[in-house]
Amino acid sequence: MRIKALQSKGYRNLAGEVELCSPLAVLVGENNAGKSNLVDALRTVLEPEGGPRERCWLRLEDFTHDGHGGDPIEEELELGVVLSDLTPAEKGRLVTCLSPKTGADCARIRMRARLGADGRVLTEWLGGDSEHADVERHARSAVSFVYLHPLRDAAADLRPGRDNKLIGLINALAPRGDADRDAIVAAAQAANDALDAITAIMRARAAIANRLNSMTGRGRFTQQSDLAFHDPRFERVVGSLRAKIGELSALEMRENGLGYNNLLYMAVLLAAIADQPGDSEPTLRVLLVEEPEAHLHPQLQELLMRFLESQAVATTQVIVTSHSPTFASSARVERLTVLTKMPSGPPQARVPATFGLEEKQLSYLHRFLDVTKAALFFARGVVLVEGVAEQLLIPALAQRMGRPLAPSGVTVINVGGVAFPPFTALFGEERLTSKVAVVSDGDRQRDVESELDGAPTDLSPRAADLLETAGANLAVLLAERTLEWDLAAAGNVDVMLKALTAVKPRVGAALEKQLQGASREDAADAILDKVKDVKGRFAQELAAILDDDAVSFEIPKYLQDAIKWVADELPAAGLLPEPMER
Amino acid sequence: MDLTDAQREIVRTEGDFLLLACPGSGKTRAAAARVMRVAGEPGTKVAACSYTNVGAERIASMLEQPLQPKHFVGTVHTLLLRYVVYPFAHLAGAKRGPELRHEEWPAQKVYGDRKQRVPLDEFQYDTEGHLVLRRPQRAVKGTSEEIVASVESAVKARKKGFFREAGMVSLDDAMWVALTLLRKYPEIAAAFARRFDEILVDEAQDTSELQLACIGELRKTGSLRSLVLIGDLEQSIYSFQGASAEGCRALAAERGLRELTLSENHRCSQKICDAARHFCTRAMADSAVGETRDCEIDPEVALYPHDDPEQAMALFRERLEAHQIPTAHAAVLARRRTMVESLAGTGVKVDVEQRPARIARLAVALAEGTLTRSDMRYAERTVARCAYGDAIGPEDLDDDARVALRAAAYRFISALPSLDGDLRTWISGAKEALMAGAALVADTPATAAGMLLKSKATHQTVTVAEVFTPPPRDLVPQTVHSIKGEDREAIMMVVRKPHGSDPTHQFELFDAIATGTEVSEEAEEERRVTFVALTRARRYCLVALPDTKRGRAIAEASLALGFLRV
Repeated sequence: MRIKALQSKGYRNLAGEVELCSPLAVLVGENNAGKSNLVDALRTVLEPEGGPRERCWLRLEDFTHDGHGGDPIEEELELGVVLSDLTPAEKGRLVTCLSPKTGADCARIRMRARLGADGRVLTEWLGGDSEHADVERHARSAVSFVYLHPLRDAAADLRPGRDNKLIGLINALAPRGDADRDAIVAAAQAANDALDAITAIMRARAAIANRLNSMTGRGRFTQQSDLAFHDPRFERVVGSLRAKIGELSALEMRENGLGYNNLLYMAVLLAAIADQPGDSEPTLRVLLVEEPEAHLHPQLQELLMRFLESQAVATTQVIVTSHSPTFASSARVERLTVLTKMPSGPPQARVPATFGLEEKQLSYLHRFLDVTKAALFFARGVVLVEGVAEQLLIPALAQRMGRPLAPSGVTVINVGGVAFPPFTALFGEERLTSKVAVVSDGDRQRDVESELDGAPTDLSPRAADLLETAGANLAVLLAERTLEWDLAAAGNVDVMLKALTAVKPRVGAALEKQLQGASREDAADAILDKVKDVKGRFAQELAAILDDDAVSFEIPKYLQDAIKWVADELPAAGLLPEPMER
Repeated sequence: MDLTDAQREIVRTEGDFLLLACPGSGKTRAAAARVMRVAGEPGTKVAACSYTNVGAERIASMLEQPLQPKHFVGTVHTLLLRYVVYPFAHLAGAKRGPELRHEEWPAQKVYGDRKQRVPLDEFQYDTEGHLVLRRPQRAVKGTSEEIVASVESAVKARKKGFFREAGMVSLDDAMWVALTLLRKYPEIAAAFARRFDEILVDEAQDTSELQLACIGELRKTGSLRSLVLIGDLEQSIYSFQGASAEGCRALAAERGLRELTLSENHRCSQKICDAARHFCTRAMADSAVGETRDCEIDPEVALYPHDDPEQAMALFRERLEAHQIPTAHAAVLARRRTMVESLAGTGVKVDVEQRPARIARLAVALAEGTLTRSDMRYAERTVARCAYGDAIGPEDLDDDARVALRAAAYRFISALPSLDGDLRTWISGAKEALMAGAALVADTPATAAGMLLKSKATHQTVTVAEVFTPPPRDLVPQTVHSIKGEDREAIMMVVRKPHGSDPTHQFELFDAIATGTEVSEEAEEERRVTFVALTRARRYCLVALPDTKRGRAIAEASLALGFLRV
């Protein structure tokens, strides 16, 4: 059994169905896209492992409202958790929730809430496709969750006491009737007995008792006092256990860094949900973690992701939300659910696993989606480019066009070559819906005959193929030949020569003289020839020159088109603070 | 809990079986012990069911400790509702609901005659989907078969319409919905069967044929570890609700259930067992093994003036005194409610319509603090009827309107006049209360309260109290069905003189048994009812016959059955 999707109607900003992967689902997306809402929705419908106090109770604000703090638009909301791949035993437990409409081995646990006349929230649980609210609790508890909130304080949450998370774990390992329970009690008893034999303790006890008795007198107010290590009772002893962690030896959590404490916290919870008594009913245990990357440095994030992947067992599902490209890039693409905020209406959820990508493409993406490239899952617009030159220059050109990239949530991703297809395959109307501009070289070759004929020269076969991938939200924009050539040919020979001179002072000066009176195309040919071995440094210099608004620069049409495609025009440039480019 | 070896076998044994148990055999106690045993095994889930709520509560009360929620204790009806009808009614075509409607079904005109009408819920489905009428319809001419033949398609269409559009279904028809779903969707049947390891049905002889067929479908999936049917085929007294002892046996045979028996009666004296034997099909009398087994009191027959059944009560008191049995430990049993009422001799006889009578009883209950949920529902229904008319019932309202209706119903009943005035004044006060309640939910009530609560001039001469709160008594007559599963030190079974409009086959039965002739099919049910009645007694039973020629003859003949004439 696994959670296949969450369905929602009228709950916060969510609507429709969001698919989740199993056994590990990674929810990514920009802030306010609805990641936490999704987790909260699951916490509302499912049964908390730790008792009713950990349930997310519905409140007035959970009913979809207009976003201005006004009254709810909808007075009814419904949340449904779609479960799939049920075994026969799980179908038995969830018989009241079976949903033949969804599929043969599917079930749905639904919750409907209405806003009563007095402002109170009235909720009822429904099962499967039925409209009759009579779902037995036994069925509802077939899926339970443990939740790690984003602003967690591992040390506080793991502190000893009645809510100690370790109690569940040790209870599972030493169920009622197990000899270890007696052994635990005996150990505490022995400690108490040993303490009792120590003179200092005996004297301390007597000193306290004497004073207490003097206060209360020996009449009806008399009280008994004692000093003890711990009550020799199972729940008390186990409740006072504390998890410790440290590099050289295990220390109190207070003495440790937040990062490792978080890892310890997750380890405790995972152990507690994994070790359940063998005879218990078929249950899916869901670990909900918001921002597991919190307080962890990148390498630890990657290790944690690998570990969560390895927790892939049938009875556990891990659902995490993340803002971390490191985390998103360590996950396999087919684990992701990408939430995209829409200009109006509810966010859209897209699941790359359902895009029909071939195994080869998925593996390629897994290998090549590093931290910088994984940013595409968090962006509203993406410019895919071949190399570092475009990566450096496009933000500078966009700035000049009054369409700076960062405020539009656009990120430029250098795929380091021309292997665009695995990346472009991620986008489409039914796939990731953020706008993508693929900027590449047309590599049209100038040859004498075609020039004489006046016939258009052919695109390189690769570029022609790339054009084919264009779609509703994906534009392919090709240079006539190649970036530097097109920049020069657009009429920027002087600026280009200035940048070249900064990289290669003598070559630059010589070329400047040589190109007096040459046609734009010939000048472009010559400049390209000189910069092709220093494209990176050249781009750096050019970008630096372009920072100066006084320098005029013609932006080639294909780059203008690319920038217009992904970035919005800023209404009042200058009133905004200077944007920072990636 | 001390169990006999035979009972312990019931607790221990594995696999499917049908337990045939005699009265007083401690079968429910053994069943409860078995449920505890099976539920105690790690990972198992048990559904322990009975036909009636009383039966289910009896099992629950005998459990050593309450069961975890993964188990089920309740009626077979609830079981099938919860796991089949409620979750999947939409697959059977219901657009809403489902909503169980207990009462006030519209009637079907028969033979195009407005005077000959049968409420829709009187028509029940058999396991093949044909309609049957199980209760005699006095207002309609012809046999049940003839009535059904003339209106079957119309009734089916109307029932389907109610179900499809409003999800509305009668209690019996809900079981038909369950059966069709289980037959049509084997995967649902399989999942349901997987939900439990063992299904145990107590009082299986009373379980309706539709319910048995549903259980059969569950067994057929092969996903059930064990199916246990427990009952006494001789005590099947719910044929009017579709119960069939034969069906129970047939299911056991079809599904290959082993047959186990408990034939030791821990309740009755041997003399009662011997006398009761004539009223069951078993060749041997059950053997009495309980504390009272050696009780020397003989079962007795007596005659009462056929037009004054109340005298039978006096006679019974006399006999109880003679046998030194306190009346608190005795019960007076009759076949039907009409006889119960004449035995109780409700002092004042007034003709009150059903609705004002029910509201008056509700007011009494309110005053005594015994108001039940069903009373409250009745009050809501009455207010809804007044406020919205026939077309809209409480089930059609959304939650907020329902809350408002509940408040209006409270307003209505709390404004009912006190019980000390005369009945006519009281009813008119009740009308005002009803209007006041209805005004809370509708500006202009659709039905005048006077149409709903009618009174007559004769009501002026009696007080509410004398009609509806008769003085408490120590010996309360009741029907045999209402005492099922219980026992008393002594009972009196009052046989009624056959009556044109209320034919009972009791006379025929006693005739046939006394003369040793074959019992007719109609009298078979009477035989089982009488068997149940007699075996409620631990020490003493009295059969009171009407003092008519036939009654006297039967009294004479029953001496041969082990009864003493008094």
